[in-house]
Amino acid sequence: MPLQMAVAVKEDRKKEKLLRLLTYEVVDGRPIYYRGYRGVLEGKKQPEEVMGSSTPQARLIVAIIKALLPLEGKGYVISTNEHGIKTTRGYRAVDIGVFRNGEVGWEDTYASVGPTLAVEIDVKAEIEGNAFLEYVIRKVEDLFSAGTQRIVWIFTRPRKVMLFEREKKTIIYDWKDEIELLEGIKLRLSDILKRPYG
Amino acid sequence: MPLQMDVTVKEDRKKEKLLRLLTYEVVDGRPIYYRGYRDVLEGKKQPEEVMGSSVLQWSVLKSLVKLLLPLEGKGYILAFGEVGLHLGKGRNRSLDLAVFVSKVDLSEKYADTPPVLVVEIDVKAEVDDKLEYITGKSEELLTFGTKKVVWILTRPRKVLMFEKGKRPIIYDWEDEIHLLEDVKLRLSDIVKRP
Repeated sequence: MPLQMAVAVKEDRKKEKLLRLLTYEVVDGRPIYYRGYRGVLEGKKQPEEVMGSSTPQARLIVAIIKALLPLEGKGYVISTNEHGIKTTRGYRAVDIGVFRNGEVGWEDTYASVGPTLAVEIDVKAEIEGNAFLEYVIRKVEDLFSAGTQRIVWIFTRPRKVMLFEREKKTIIYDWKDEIELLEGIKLRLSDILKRPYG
Repeated sequence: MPLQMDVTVKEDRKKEKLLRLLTYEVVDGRPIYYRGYRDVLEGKKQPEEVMGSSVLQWSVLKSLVKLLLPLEGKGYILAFGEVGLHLGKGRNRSLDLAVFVSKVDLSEKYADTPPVLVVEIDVKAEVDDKLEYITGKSEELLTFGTKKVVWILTRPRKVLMFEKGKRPIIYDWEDEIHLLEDVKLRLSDIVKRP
């Protein structure tokens, strides 16, 4: 193989490898990349710079898990860390999932059912053009079709929370509103942010 | 003035003029530009290519106007087509459709009284966070005195409804949405019509 061609092939393989690493979810056989993945492809950023959570995102996750933990004694299992869910349309990642006992075990696989409750913080996917809400709605529908009952989606920049419930209209809550997560466990984000520790 | 400097000054003036043309709204004294304005600055697009409405957007607007026009016989004033609203110093918003109750004087200035109803179709502004823009603009209008802000999104096909004293709700295009008085809207019906 001529040198130039060999270099091109190597470049292609490197790009392919990077793209696989930067894949956040797969829907209808097509990858959805992490927000800002282009910066990585262009060599401007390291993959870790676009794949991580911000401090408030990370701390909110901890605070919400703490609030949900009592459910583990009541027949639920809590998962986190971009837990992969196999849906009819592909693979989705959830920030926090609350499953019923027995729905998830210790197998080295993605969950095959949606969590009863999913909590999402912001949008980590790269979305084309005007369709910010389209991604959110499609993912919600996808999780509903996998069995999820309720999705609490937190948007840290406008400080709003969308509550999606099956067969109900979606409501947009404020940071200072009390939101029911599951089984009477309630959350007020403005309170969490006042605490020095989660 | 040396030639090169003269060219730079000219370029700057041209850019400034373009930016003024591409300004969609002014909030807290700062301009919000039309979506895609960067392409115009880079010479990739003409201003008209980013400032216009899509067929779906203007079809929805036309249907809304038809629905709401009868209210003009009931003491309301219907305004549409990037209605300028002056909310205060350095605060100018652009509205796709607005219904006023109070008498609006025919003047060359922007209206400065709150409309009772505002309908927006998609986000025409170039912003980092669309939800922040939508909720921020809607809440600003409600605080100013508007009773209801209906935000129609064409992709995905959803409607966000902001009402004074209530939590915002996201509706589907198939849902019937109450606008004002006896006027109701079902977007899926509008889009079906030839």
